Amino acid sequence: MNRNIDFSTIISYIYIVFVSILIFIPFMISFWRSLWTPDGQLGLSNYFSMAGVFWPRVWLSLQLSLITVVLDLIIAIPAAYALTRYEFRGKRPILLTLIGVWYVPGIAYALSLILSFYLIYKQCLSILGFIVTYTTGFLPMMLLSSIVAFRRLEISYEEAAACLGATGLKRFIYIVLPLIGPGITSGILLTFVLSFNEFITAFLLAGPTGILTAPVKVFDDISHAGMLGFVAAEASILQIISLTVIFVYLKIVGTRYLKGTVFF
Amino acid sequence: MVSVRAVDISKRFGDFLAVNHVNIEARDRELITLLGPSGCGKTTTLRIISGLVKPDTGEVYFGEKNVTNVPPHKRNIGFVFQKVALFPHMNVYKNVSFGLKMKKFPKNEIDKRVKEVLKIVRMEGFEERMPSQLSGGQVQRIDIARVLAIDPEVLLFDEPLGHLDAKLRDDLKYEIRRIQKETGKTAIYVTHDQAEAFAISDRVYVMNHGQVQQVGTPIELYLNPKSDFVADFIGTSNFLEGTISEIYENRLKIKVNDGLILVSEVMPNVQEYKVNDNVIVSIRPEDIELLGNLTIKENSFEAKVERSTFLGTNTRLLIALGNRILKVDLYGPERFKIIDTAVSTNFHVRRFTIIKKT
Repeated sequence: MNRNIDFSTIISYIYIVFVSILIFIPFMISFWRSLWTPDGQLGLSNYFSMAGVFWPRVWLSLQLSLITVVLDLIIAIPAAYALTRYEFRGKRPILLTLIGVWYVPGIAYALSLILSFYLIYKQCLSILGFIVTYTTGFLPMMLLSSIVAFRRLEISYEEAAACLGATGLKRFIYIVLPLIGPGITSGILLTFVLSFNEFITAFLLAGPTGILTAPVKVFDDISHAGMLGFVAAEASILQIISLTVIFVYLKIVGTRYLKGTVFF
Repeated sequence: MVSVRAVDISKRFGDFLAVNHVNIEARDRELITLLGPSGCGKTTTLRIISGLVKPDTGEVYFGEKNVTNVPPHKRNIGFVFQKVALFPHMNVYKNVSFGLKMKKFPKNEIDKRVKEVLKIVRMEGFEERMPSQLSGGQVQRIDIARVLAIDPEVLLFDEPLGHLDAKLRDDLKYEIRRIQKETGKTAIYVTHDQAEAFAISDRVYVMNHGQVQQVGTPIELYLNPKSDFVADFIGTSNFLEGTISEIYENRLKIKVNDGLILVSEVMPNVQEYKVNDNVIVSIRPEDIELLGNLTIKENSFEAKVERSTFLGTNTRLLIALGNRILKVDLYGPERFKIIDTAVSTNFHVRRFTIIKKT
């Protein structure tokens, strides 16, 4: 009996290590490559050489991701609340419209969106174009995870709070928001990571606006310079930032909301 | 303290008429129960009184104040839910103090009230526990403490013991009654369990198909059900169809379809009946007694015992009367008697209820 348990545990660990290696090997290789200069020296000089040009791009991408997360939260939470708590005419078409972006190829949608905003508002030639396209593009991520969270939230908690004298806003702040943590957490993390690393929309916008986000800058450098050490350094920085933000977020918010969904 | 009245309230959900012109009154400091089977409209009625559901028609009054359009958070009610609604992210102290915090009580007053109500529900010292660290009964006590903390005018209970085991239900129902009496609150309690309703209520509203079928004290309802539904839902009854064959000396003689002749006691309302009226006779199993070899002329009959089952506190007999099987419950020393199932035995109907057939 014990032998069986031990054997399955060993297999589980081997599997986890194997999958981890698969995930981490590309990162380790690019990181290792980033430590070597063109003249064969080992060190951090690649990081210093590209810093002046690349860090402003990273800062821009970070800002865009954070703005996207905040705007998507502001839009998705009330929308998800209304879609789960109230019955009204046209509910399903509205939901389909909100998540419709997922049903078309990314590049086609990005192009259509950029053209629309350019033709209607003449705005895609600025940072506003990035914000609008990112926010719209990643809304389904936040919306669907919020809808799941609201569906799991028993209405009786809100009713109990109402009977105890809590107004609608207070119920939302003290009861609803803390209890929909799981949905918000996964939605925030996915929206942040995916928008920080977003390439298609950013690439299409880069031409008319001349604004390069960090992932597009990496692509641009690979196209022009090949896989040199400083390009590997740029790729490593993007990966390190993504992982660091997730780590810090989970440290602050806690991992309890991800139990059962992620190996923690 | 305050009385609660629901006047002519109705509520429809799509095609389903959940509450159909219901009138309810809980007098000051009274505990009334809405009793009925699933889907009878009792919970919807309670939720209308709480303000969680808006009625299609009718009005709700707390005392003389019409609260029909007052939202629940302004009604000053205490609602104990069937599904436990303790906030899982707050400890006991925070749960109990939540309502006081919403009503902006000062911190020292909150501390004092929390201590007081935890003492009432006998849960002192549990302030730091999280809901997940409490047993089912403890959670329900904290839920009650939480609603008592805000000193509500009215207590509303929606099957609060529904998910607890039988022993705990038994203990907690008396606790609820004790707390209601001690605090002197007007209370409305919803349950489908007749024993629970009878144990704690001053008066019971029996509901079915969205309507109130009968109102009365537990004893009134048990002894004088006005419909076959109430007679059947409250306890157990044998129903026999019959016709009034004679009226004399303020008594009714009823010819039951199975050949039995039953004579009622003197009835104050005998003028409500006429000869040849069709009626239903409801006989409680404990109101049929074993006569053995003795004979009483009136309301007695002979029947063969089909089955005898000893149940501890009583023995349940199934006896054949014509084509019908009647239930008979024997209590006291009689329950230990060995009943011969091979021969017919004499039985006597001690009391029965006459229900007009509609």
